[in-house]
Amino acid sequence: MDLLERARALAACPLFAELAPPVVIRLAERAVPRDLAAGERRSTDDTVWVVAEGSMAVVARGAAKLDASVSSMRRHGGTASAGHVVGLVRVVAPSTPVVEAIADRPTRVLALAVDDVRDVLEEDPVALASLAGALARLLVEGG
Amino acid sequence: MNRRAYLLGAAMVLAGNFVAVALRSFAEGAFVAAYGKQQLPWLFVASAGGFAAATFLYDVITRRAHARVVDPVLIALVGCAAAGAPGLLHAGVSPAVLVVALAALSQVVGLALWNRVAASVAGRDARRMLPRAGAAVTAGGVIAGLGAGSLAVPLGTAILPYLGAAASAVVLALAIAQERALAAGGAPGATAPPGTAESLGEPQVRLLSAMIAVAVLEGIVATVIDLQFAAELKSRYRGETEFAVAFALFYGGTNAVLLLLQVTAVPRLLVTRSLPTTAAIHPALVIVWYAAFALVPGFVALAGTRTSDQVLRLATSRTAQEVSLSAFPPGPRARWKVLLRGAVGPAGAASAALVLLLLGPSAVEHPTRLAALTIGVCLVWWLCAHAAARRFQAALAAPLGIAARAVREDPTRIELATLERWTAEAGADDARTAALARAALARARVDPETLGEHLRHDEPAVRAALFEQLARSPTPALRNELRAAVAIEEDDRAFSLGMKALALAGDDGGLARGRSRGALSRDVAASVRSAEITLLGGDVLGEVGRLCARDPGWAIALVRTHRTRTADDAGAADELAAALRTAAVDPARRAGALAVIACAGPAAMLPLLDEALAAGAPEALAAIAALDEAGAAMLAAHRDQLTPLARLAIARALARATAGGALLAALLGDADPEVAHAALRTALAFASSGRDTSDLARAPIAAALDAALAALVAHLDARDADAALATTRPDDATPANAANAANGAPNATTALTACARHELELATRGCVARLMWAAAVETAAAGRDPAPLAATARRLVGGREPDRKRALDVVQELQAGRTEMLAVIERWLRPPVARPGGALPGQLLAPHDRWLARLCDGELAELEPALAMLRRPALFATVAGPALATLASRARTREVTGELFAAAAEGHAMFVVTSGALLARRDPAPARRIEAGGVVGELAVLTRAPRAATVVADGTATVLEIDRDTFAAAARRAPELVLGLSATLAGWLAPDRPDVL
Repeated sequence: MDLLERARALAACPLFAELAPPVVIRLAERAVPRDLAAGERRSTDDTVWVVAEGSMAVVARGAAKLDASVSSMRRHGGTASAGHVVGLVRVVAPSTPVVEAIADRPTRVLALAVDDVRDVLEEDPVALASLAGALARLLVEGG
Repeated sequence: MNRRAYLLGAAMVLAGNFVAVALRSFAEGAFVAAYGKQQLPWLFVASAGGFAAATFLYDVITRRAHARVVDPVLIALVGCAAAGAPGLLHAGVSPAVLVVALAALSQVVGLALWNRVAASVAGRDARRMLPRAGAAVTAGGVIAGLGAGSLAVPLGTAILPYLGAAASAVVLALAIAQERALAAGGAPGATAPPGTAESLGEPQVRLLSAMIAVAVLEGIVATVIDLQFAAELKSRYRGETEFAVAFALFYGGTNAVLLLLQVTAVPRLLVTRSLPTTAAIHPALVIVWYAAFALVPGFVALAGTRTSDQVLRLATSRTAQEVSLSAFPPGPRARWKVLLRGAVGPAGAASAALVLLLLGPSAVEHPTRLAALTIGVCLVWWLCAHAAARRFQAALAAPLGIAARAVREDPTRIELATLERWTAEAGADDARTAALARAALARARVDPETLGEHLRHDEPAVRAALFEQLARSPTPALRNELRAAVAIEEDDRAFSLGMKALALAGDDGGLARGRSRGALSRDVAASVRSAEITLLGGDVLGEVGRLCARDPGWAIALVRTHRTRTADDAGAADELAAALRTAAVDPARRAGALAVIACAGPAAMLPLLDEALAAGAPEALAAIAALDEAGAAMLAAHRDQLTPLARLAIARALARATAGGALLAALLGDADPEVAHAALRTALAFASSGRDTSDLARAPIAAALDAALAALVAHLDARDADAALATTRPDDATPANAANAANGAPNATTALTACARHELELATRGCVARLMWAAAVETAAAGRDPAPLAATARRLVGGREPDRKRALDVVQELQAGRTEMLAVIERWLRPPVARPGGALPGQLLAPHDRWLARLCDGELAELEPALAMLRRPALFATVAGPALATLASRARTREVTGELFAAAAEGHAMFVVTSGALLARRDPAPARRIEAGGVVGELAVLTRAPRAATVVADGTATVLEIDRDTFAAAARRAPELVLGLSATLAGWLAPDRPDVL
């Protein structure tokens, strides 16, 4: 994925929808694409995962067994499909529980280091306010 | 640190090594007496093998029974064996068996005792104190070695086991006392921080494999050196007793050198130098001495080699191993310490000894050949030691989520193929995709060397993008190609941009054709007019005004050209300023006008830019983000004319720029701590993203780091001064009281208020972050990846206590040469130390943080109640003091009885409860009580969504009202305010949305 493709994948996420194009580009500069086979696991200890294609079952660490299956994780947590961002909240609230994710099919994700996302947001007060506004809307909409 | 357990442990290992050395001296003397010196090599093999076997057995036993039970039994066993050894020899027990058993047993006991000492210290205390405990071990060896050598002559070697037995009884008593001290006072070195893993993870397994290789190779080298040295000694000292005495004296002598190092240099080495440095010392010096021996064979060089090996094995290699094992959880750490030293190392030694014995006398008959071969082994050992040190760094940083990353290339440099794709996307029907493509193109640069051959590309959009790049960055070498391409350009947009590129390069090549085409195209006509005025003069100010709306980049170039031409005309600058002032009030031209002022001046217009930056105007910030190098240099030269708020905004906005290194370098040394801190963060962003950091290399980073260090020291001194004041009575005769009396000031001898003390603590934490950013920038300027150090800074400032201590160890591994930084950060992590008789906190802080100094001096007393109240919610917990003070001064205090706001009503403000309580009702959920320090209505400062609940006062309550504008103004100065709000929202969101957790 080149820079523009990564930026398009990021811009497709509702949480990043309000970010100005230059901010999305700066995030895309730091994003690393990864192709996950079905069954591959990831966690949000220090990485934010943006699902570009495919889907992942996600659950907060501790809510399911370490070796839980896809269906079990989905039952205790949820699903992150294209356009979902997993682990973004840990950027602003490091004490938030880590999320375990498992690809339920071949999935393409973008990996962003938590520190990188935080850097980009702190560089741009408008971007930070946009993210906060997006979180607020999620709350208001009860989504 | 458990001081009592540590001291008892040090005494215990001193006595323990006395026992071990005394028994070894006796046993080896008995062996030589029975079998002769020529059998000594077999003794090496057997001893090493016996030690390894005994260690494995100890490992097996302690996995089933606790060490606190096993160790005293072992000590007692050693004592009994020592007392019974002479009798056993007389009874006909094989001296070989006795030697191996005594040596193995006493050495295993030594390892077990060492683990007990290590349990009493942890972290940096371990690095500082364990070498001194090692000195105690060495002292025991010195006493035994020199004493044995002295006593053996008049009394014979038979006295030694009885001395050993007596010392064993002392060791046993000390071990029991130390166990009790550990139980009573804690065992920090044997207790894992809560939430940490108990088993080895992948980075630690990799580290362990390297440590095993190092231990084996070290054992091999040590054995070769020992055997060569023993052979040399045998040839010099023919008598049995002479040989034993010489060996013991040499052993005692090397231990004396080791003792000196362990007490003086080694503790300092372990708390200041990275592990690769420490681990390299031993193999490097052995190679040097062995090389000297290979060149000039003789006793001196060989003795030097053996001394280096003996001393440095314990002084540096063993301590490096100790440090490496600190990356393990306590259980595996203790186990592998025993196995590496007792089994793996001796296994390597035994293997080497066996090989040499099989080779026979010829192995030592060609000492230089053997030395050369061993040097080869030493080189491999050195490489393994370096690899182990690097893996230790990775294992140390891994639990903090810090890892080295692949070096990033400059993301703004692209290939032509990429440019082609992006220009196609810039014309896409989807507005969002097109906007992203344009944003990417705005930052992109094609290598000028390849650009020229593509100026006649088939796609007009690509040609336009290339012309635009040449307009941004004129390339004289491509002038002819550009003229030729513009001469045949048919697309209006591309032609306009081509003409712009020519005009900005001072070339009128496109004008003639442009004039004729301008009749058919308004865009071309506008470009022709701009080009004519740029090249030939005319209504420059009018054109600047027009270009502020149409093409700010051209306006900047035109203003620069105009200012150069009219440098001697005093009135021209005023006319230009007037034109820009007019443009700045026009919404359609304001952004362009600010961009011109930022990049090209004149300086008289800087107050306008200053005002816009201080207000956080997006167009002003965009102007900074679009700065070129010439504009950055101009602003750097005039930065003293800008207010601190404007400079702060510039420092932050530069993070989005592709150029501006010169301005950033200038801001690194800013007198305002907030500006310097922001500049450091931006410099780090520059370095982390792969952008050009050549300006940083020339920047006063060392000065910025020194300033950050001085600021932190001043804050820590203020903290200590406050601690002293807290214990001082008002009428105590102190220099501070005398000074205040002489100045007529009230006796300011009371400690800081709780509010001031809290602000000092927060500001000190900010100083630590600033120091770490400066160190990271210095790392980047040296060409190394600053990301791990920057990540460490976050853990150090914001992490839990165990993480912060671990982060400090990571800093030691990553930083380059700034050892004073470690000492200061360690001082920050320790409680304050009352230092009476010094300056007051405000006096110490004044040169570094004027606002905090005023707070500490009591000049902002009326603000303190609001400040203290705003600190209580987590939302404001980390906001910088001056920013929070501004917020506090603008917030409105209200008394509330009854309803504060109703559900579904539009919200404009958030409220912080300062006294009383509020009740939030949202059916069907039970009412939520918000006490003093709580916050309600946060969403209203971000969205215009209706209120989610009805909030009423429980009786009478007082609140601080913060409206949306006040919050936005504060957030522009302190972005962490929005981060805090986001964290609050995230906390509400988290349980229901794992896909965004």
